[in-house]
Amino acid sequence: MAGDDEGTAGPGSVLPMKRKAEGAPQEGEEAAGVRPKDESLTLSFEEQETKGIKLLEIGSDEMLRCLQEGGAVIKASEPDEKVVLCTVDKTFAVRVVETSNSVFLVEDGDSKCFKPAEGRAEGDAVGSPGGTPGPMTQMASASARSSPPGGLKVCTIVSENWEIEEIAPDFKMLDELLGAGDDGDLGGSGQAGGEDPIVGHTLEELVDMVQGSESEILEELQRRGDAMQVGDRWVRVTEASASALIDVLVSKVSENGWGWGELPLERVLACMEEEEFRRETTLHVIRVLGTAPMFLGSVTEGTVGSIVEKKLCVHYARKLLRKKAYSKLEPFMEEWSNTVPVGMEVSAEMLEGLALQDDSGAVVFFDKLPRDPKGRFDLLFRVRPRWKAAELRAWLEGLTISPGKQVDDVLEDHLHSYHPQGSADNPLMYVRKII
Amino acid sequence: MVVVPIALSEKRKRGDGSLPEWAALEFQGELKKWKEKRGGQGSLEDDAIAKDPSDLKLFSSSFIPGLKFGLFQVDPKDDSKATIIVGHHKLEGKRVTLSKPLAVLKKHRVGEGRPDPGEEGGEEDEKGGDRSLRDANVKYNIEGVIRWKLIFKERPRLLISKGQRK
Repeated sequence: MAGDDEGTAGPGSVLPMKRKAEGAPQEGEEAAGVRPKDESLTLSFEEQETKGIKLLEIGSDEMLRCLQEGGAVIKASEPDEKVVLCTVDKTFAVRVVETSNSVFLVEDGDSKCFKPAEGRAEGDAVGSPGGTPGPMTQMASASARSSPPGGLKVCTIVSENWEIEEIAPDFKMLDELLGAGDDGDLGGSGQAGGEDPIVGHTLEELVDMVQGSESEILEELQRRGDAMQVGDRWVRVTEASASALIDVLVSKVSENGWGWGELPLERVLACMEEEEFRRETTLHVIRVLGTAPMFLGSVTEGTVGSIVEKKLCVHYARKLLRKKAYSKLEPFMEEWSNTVPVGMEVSAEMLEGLALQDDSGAVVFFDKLPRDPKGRFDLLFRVRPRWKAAELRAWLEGLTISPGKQVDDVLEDHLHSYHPQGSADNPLMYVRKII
Repeated sequence: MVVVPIALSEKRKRGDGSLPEWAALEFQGELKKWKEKRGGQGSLEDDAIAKDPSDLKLFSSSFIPGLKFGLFQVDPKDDSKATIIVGHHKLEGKRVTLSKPLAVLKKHRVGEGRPDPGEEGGEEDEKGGDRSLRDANVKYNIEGVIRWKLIFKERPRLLISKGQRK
């Protein structure tokens, strides 16, 4: 039995360690960094605790590389709002997870003391010479050994770590910054340059204020119709100022006989500038309504842009619906048809995503749909309890979808689907889930 | 909006650009101190090794600077197993590779003249750590990465002396 011929007595315990094989430690082993045969090491605390240590769970080496490159920040807004970690192009929710376990951290995780098999010649046995000493003796002799010096040192103890989960960015603050104040007329004429006389925000300022990564925020800014870049600042474009510009633009296109699909951008911008509309604003509006380069510097004599007929018609529909309510569809369609430029034709299908008829036939206008699925579906299904799948799809643009999920996953989470009358040939219908 | 940067600690970066690996020893539960250590708690004298085993039983999981509290040994034939002896108790542990590595972040105060909490043992965060996430005056440096841990979750076994085995 191990320890029976123990020479060092005392209250120490009997350790079930194997006896050393015949022969002394191999020459040169210590010099090679291999520990002596008795491989117990002293476990101790460092002389000074390393304070302020936090453990952050990372999903991949790619994430670790991103952190190493300095592209990550933690953002926290009001005390009751969530904390997020943002890399260059992703947003993660941060959660503090506590454990009842105690985790002792050792700074030298590469230490050979964790891998005693490395460097040992094959066939070497392990065990202390002359039997098994008691634990106190072992500790004393372990601390006296020099490889590794001082044994294992614990630098701190933790009992929690931060977990992260990728989420969609939260643009509520961006909506506030860009939509602050009412949509209003600029002095009545709408010809005072076309945008709010505000300083706006640089991208860096917006990144500091919005819970999202820089890439996601920039993508959202470029997607939006109510924000444009002037120099290095993003400024708000109000509906009123855009509307005034569009009215003048339409008349200029008509006067000059330009085609909606082939607008000579340099001439268009110059023409609008004579009417005191800034070139950036005109370019922005054309881009929102159709196609145009992102940057003013890209526009040359030969650059061509376009305005999509449907988008222009929808603009006029929105303008009418903001002014008054319509109890029936027909009067609205008539008025709308008389408003759009000559030659353009309107249709009820163009209203998908903008307005629909309720059970009484009244036109219900949705100026700003909520981004979150629950809010949006609550709103839509309150007006119409049952939707055909094809109709509903048109109302999903701009919906916030969590990373890793698809649109169908969102529909499944919030809605019940069925085929009326039990037949798969009938169109798929959706109703709201009661949660 | 409070924005707290996370940056790489330059002095921790190795020649190949990688981060140093840290190790974690996880104990299920806490190590509790049974009696006061002779000579006062947290003694840093050379005889910090307890000479009487009755002084070296189980210590609290509080950090006691400089204190030697146990023996550690990796199974020489199987790197994935290790034992720790604390007093008369033996804990057996296994090496577990983490499914998600942990980055080791160290909090630093920003601004001139502000002491580094790691140097002087600065302030403790409130329970839950949320406060540190909302502190505008800090930054975090990445000090290392933990890819595996030794977890000691088995009940400690009592080691008895020859004289006690009858």
